[in-house]
Amino acid sequence: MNPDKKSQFSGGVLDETMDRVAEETERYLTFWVGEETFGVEIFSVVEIVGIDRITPVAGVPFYVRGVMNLRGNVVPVVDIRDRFSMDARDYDPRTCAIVVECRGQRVGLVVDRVREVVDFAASQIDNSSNVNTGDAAHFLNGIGKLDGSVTILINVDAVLFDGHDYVSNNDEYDHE
Amino acid sequence: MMGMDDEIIKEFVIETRELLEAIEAGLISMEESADTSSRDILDTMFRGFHSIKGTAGFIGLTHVVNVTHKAENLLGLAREGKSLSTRAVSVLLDVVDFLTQAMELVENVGNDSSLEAVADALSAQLVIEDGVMTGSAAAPEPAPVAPKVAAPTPDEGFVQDDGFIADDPFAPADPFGLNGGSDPFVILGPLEEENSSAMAASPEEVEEVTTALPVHSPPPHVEGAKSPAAPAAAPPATHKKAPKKRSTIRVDLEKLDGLMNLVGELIIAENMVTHNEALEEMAEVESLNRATTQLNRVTRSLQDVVMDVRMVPISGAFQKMSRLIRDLRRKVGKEVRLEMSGEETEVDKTVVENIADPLVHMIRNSVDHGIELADVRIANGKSPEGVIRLTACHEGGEVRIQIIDDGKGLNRAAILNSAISKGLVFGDGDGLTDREVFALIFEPGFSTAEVVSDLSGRGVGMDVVRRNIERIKGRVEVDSVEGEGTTVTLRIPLTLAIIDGMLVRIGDVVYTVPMLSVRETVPYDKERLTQKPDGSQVIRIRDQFVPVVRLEGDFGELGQAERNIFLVVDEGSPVALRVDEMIGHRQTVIKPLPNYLGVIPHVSGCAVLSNGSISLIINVNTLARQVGRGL
Repeated sequence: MNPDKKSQFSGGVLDETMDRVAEETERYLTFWVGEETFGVEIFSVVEIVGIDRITPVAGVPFYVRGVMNLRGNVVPVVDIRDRFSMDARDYDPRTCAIVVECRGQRVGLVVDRVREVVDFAASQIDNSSNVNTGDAAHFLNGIGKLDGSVTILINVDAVLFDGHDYVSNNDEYDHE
Repeated sequence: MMGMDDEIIKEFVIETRELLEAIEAGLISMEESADTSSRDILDTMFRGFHSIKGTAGFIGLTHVVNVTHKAENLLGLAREGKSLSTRAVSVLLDVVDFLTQAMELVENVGNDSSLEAVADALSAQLVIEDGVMTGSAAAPEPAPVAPKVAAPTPDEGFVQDDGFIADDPFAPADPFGLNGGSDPFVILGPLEEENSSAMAASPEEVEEVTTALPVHSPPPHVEGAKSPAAPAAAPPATHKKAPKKRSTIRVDLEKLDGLMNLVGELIIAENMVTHNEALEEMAEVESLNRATTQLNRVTRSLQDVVMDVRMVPISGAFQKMSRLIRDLRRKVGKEVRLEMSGEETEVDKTVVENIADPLVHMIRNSVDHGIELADVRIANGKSPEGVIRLTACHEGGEVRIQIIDDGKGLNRAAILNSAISKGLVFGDGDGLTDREVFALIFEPGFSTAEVVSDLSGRGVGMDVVRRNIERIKGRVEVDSVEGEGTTVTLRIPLTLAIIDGMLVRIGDVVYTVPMLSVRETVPYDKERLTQKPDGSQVIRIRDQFVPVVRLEGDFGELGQAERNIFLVVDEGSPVALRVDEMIGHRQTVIKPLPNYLGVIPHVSGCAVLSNGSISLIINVNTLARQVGRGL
């Protein structure tokens, strides 16, 4: 089942060919948040934009920073740090928003810095029970391993919509 | 329906609906004026039915063809000078209903096959009227009251299996066509069969045959004596008007919206250029100034033109009301007359689309609960016939629509009692103005049946009315004098795409308040402010206390209190917003709040400012409601 294990036991040419056919690659856009590298499925990425002004909106979930203007369209902004309960950090010139589209909605994901586009073969993505632990597990597609580096691959749908009530009752939302 | 181009069907449905509107208007005006001989109206209706029939035949809507064909025949006779009875007009209105229903089916299912029974019943009635008009029904009246559409009486005698009309016999009273010579349309029977199986005779053919035939029919059947539908009194002839003709092209609203969006962006971009700080150093350069002024003027005109394109007369929505009144008059048994004015008032297309339902609701309420029965009215010294006036006009940047009835009015005490018992008002409510009390009928909890039967009515679904009006950023006010009548006033912005806004700053955040609801501004003054035990504040403005809404916290942190300004907004009941600064008055493009955020109370949308940032538009309606009523 797991391609990794399979290749350990089989050495035949046929098996190798089948492995190669089965090995579809998935393309991710990677970015920095703090010390970690994250990746987001490239097919959901619309564009990357710098952050100009974000207008705070009252009564929205804590991870929604507000709305921004994307060429005349109003786009909500979700801060990855807030969503993953990481320490907040002031925005700097390299802070940017990855505009993703999911369930017909466009949302900007605020990240520290965009890195590069990487192809991961299925065999390079570990989504075994070893990584599927912790509170944030449902936000992840798995962990990508490539040339010794590790990338946390996020599931955009989950990040945007898991537990996302359209009408929030969160009164604690702190406006800076 | 196989392989039929969807475009054709879509086009057909749109076109038919327009034709039906014109036909219905014609029928209603005939009924109102008790004059069924207006050649203009007859022609319009005849042509309308004919063109519906043509395309319907092409698409294969056999029942539609069947019914429209007979309706066309009837009008054809009327065009020749034969008198159209009021009952026939009524049947033709049923035909309009039938076709409206058919269009819905065609749109959703693609055919009209489920309408067979209704179509047959209607056809039978049309044939009866046809017989009456040609005088062939010298024989017994078919029935004192025309059979209802809902009660189908299929008569296979004159509808073939394929649903297409084989022959057009007379009323049952004349099964053998004894008077055939007097009816030019009899000739059309065979003629049609020679034609394509789907297409009926063209008007030219009808014309040819009818003119070729000497008409020696007996004088028109005398009606009136037996007609229960004849109006009690003929209203003034001012109601008679032929539907206006306009030369137009049809454009997808989406395309217009796209254009509107682009213009909005252009305005923002233009703002960014002309108000760019870098240009300030060159303020002395006259050629540059001229250029920016020119740019500004052109973009504004472009905006005006695009806005204007979306404007349509409100008559589309009003027209439906004459029909409604007519139907209600029959159903409720009250004498009511509808007077309309200002139908030509232009509003945004979306407004017309959204205003019809609330209007229906409110007019129905007026008839049901406002207008008294004739004998009660007479006893109260009123004329037996109730009058509902529906008016529209432009006022400021808004369109004002009023529904004025001369019925029994609202009972303040009864409404208040009911509201107190429902917990909508605390205390005895003595401090509330009449308008505030009457506004309670729009509260969701208020619309219960027992209230309606007890009180002077109203209340059923009035919360829905308000919701619908607020969706198009409008507001509702009710005035009433007990015993004299009720006036409901709707105020709706002319357009939903642009907002005339006052920019205010709360902390670091800039908000937009609709200019139309801004009444005045009052500087901070400790003497005017009163803190109530629960922490809420009221501000005294002249001799009135206005509740202060706390937006701070959720909306941003207010700065130094002494510098605060109170912005009094009023959309029915005044509230004061406490802000740091009034920035100024701007026209901006309205953008909806992204769905991802769900419904945010107090925010009705977003405005894009000239510096490219987004400002939330404050929903004054919900703010005013938040402060609650009573003391």
